[in-house]
Amino acid sequence: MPSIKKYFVRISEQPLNPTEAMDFVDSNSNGASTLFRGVTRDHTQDRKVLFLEYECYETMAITKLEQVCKEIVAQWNVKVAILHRIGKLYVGEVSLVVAIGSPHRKDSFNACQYSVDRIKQIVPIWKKEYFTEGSIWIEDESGFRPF
Amino acid sequence: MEIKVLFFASYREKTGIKSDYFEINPGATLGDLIQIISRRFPNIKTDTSKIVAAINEEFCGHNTVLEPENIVALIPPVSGG
Repeated sequence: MPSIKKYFVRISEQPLNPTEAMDFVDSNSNGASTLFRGVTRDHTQDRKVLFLEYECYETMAITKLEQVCKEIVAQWNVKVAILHRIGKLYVGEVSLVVAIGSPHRKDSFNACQYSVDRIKQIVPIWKKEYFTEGSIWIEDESGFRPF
Repeated sequence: MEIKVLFFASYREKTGIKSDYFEINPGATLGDLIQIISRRFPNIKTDTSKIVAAINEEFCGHNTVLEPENIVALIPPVSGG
């Protein structure tokens, strides 16, 4: 019996297609699917955001996204697809898509939350925020969990 | 021996380079290399003990001994998502 690939990751400069991620996780044995989209917000605290620029260490970022997926499929009976966009993103554009499919809803919700949290802890992707008065790299020392 | 080092995001901007080679002594650790880098780029981070780095795309502690052909990347706190 051929093994079925349970995860899929991609980093792209092109706009993300959530349907592609959902299609990957859909299966006749799944009764639940969860879709998370990270979207560029028009403000951070009182700063008006013009656009974001995402940069990554691509080969390591792919490896770390795959690590997140492996952690997930080891814990829950799910399929997972993660798409991350890099480059310049304007307000309203989607930077992250996480899709989870599972037989039952609880695993789907839990795995989705875990994915997004872990991406923000270990995947070498950085965003620079451009706002009306300047720009700043967003670096969250407390959220960074390399080990 | 020479070790290739990659700089990303804020570290790339602070150093003005994407990558360079740094000379280290045999048996030197990642922490030793970070000291060498911070002597050349003192503005990279106030507390160099807090610089996180990867060797061959895996996060490693400062006491890791470097080997020939290792590729080191300095990893600022991540902010994907």
